[in-house]
Amino acid sequence: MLHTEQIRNNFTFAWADHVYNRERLVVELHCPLEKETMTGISLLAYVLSSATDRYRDIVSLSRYLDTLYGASLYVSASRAGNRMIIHFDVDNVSGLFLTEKDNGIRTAELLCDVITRPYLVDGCFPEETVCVEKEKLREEISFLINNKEAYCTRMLLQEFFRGNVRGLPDLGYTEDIDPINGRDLYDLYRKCLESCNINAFYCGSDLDEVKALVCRTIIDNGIGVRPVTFDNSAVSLPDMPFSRTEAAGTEQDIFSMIYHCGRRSDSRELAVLKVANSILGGMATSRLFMNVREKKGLCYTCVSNRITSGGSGIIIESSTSADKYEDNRDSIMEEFSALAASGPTGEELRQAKLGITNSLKGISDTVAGVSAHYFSSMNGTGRYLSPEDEIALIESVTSSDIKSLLSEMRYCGICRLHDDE
Amino acid sequence: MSKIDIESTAALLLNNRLFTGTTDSGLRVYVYEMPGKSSVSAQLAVGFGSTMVHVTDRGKRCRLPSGTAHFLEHKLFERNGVDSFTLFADLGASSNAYTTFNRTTFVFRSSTEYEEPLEILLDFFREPLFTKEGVEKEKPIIADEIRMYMDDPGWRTSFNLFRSLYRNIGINDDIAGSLESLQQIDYMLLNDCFRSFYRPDNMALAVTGPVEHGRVFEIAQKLTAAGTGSPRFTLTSAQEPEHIIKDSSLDRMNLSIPMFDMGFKEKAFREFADVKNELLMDMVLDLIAGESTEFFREMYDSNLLSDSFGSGFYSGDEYLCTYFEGDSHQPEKVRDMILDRIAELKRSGLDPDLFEERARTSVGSYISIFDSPGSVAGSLISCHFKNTSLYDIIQHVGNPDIDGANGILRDCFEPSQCSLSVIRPTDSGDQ
Repeated sequence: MLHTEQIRNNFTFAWADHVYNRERLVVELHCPLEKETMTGISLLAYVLSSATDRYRDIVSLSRYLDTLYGASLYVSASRAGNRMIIHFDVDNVSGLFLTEKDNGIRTAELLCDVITRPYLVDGCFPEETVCVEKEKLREEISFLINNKEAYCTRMLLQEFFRGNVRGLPDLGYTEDIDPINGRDLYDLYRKCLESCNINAFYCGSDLDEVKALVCRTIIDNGIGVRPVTFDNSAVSLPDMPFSRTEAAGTEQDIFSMIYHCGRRSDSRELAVLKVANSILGGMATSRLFMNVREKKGLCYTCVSNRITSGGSGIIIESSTSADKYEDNRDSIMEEFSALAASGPTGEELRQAKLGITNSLKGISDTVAGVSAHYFSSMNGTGRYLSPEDEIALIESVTSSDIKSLLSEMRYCGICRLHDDE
Repeated sequence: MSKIDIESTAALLLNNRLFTGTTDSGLRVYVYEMPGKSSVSAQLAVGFGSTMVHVTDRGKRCRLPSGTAHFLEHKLFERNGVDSFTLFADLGASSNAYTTFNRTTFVFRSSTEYEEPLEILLDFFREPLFTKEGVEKEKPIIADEIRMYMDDPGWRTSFNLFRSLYRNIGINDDIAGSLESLQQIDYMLLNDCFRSFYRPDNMALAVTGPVEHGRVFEIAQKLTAAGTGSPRFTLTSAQEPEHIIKDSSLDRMNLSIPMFDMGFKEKAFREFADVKNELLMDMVLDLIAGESTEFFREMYDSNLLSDSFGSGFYSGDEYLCTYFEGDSHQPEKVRDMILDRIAELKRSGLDPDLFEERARTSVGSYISIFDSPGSVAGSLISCHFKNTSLYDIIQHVGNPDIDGANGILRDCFEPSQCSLSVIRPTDSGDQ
């Protein structure tokens, strides 16, 4: 069971009943997504996770995490739709098993220190640390090409969202890294702390103490004193479908394509999208898997995923040998058109709903599942929808809902990686 | 030492929850009852993995085409023209299967309604009939899977390493085989391999979640029958040279930064097999170059390594391969520095304070297994094939032995047994 409390208009604290062997505390700061600052915010995650004022390098920090029975600390900065999210996350074995009863509190204190007491020299991030982490960020940006499927989809989204902040490249721009120094970066961090919205989640055995600690940390340090309003308008669809190809020396032709309806959906329509995606290519009995892969043997991978950024859409990813590329692509498009035209069969609808509801029921089995669902719900629609509420919406989806939503989606474009030949 | 009471933790996690038994057919069954959970996880694993290619065929030694175990896994999900995914999905359960070096595993996850999915899972293993047409139809799909892995630099770096370390053991072949070996597999071979290896006494079932152990045993008892007739194939061991094949390999791909995998061909696992040694090996690897070591920080700060750096080991009856992997602009320098670090640690021994801190991480990891039905099921299967149990593991986790760890450090990681596999960017002029 998950509970939420609105501490301030831009600060929500959520907690789940503690019935797990692990405990978890997560704090997310939602900041504006801007071309000028996204590279710096990406770098912040590296710098903040490398030290605190008390543990001044990665080794002493790691050793401290070991003494907390292998607590894991994770700081990331990622783009979610039209915002940058700085995500602070720590999880640890439950104090129920330990004779040291302050293990949970010490873990929460560590996370709060990471947020508000970073290691500073002369009031700014140490230049040496910033220099090392700049190299890591530079490498991480260039490393994105190694995962070809993800690279291809990233390329697709950049093209689809061209001219919109949602299309900014993940992690920012290599050319923006060089000028960053410790002082500028710390100034940027202060601005992020001031102008942000906050979502926190806790599940553990020290709820009262941890909640008080987190609230004190946020309020006493002026975090989020300037709430941010995010522009949630829908994306404009391209006039003509785009097609982008890149020679990547790949064994297979790897491609991603996007269908989008160019308007935002409410919670119910997002449930329709979830079921539609499941039937099209989101599960092992989907039409793409059964027809394109199993019946026609055109590929090994053929899956679809939902996209909710800038409105509702579906991305389809596949890869196959070059000689089968066109047949594979055309078959996928035929499957989409057929589903949009006729809707799913009663049996397909029943199976998809059953699969999704069972998976929603299983969320409560782990603390990781509960927190992931909470943040996914909050970051997707801005309000928390419990698994039970979501199940009710899923149950209400009809075949004509799916027909209607998919018919509204337009084919917007494709990106393809292929061999150099 | 860790401030945790091992006996009471073991009792809290295992007593009155873990039940084991064997059906009349010889299938070993593990049930872990988790009354508060909302999903059930089941895994049925067969002791037939991609490395198990050396067999005797009615007494005569021969080699199965690489990828045979993986091909069987693909075909078992289709029975009599019906895709088994559909049967599970019909009940709202999700299913999957995968082949590793040492076994093939079939899994499903369902809501609290688990009896019917379990019956479907066990029904797979009654006599299947692979047809020529069905097997030939699957080949292009598997060929695409093989090509897909060729585009994965991490996968390619690892298998290039294995080919530098091993000559005959099946670990040097891709799990799905090659485009050539795929063509050597036919429906008769699959039928014979099924009868030879998919026998209840070569399999284990783990069911975890809000289940009732008596009911699981009943279903398993009802639906499994002992293997009949004498199998055509019997597993045999490979004749593997003691030394590595070559000390380095270089490949090229469209990459941004070179990737590397340095590995050691250690003594065969059967000479080392012991759950205690496995746990200690994990700790030793972390203490050589994990994030809690000054050594890691020096490498990281010098931009020789990134966060992607990691270590681990692969083990089976016939092999033990320890490795360090990541991306680096200077992989050879990283290898040399790791070898120097190991030499220094062999001389000085492990730092007792660091060892104790790392031991706490093992305690945390062990307890974490028990939160998720899927991870408990996976651990039970893993224990079964290593002839150990979750009870044994916690005893060793709770009483780590630094002398044993130093012994492993001394006996393993010989520089002459090390090879470095590197993939460099296609357009780089580096040699």
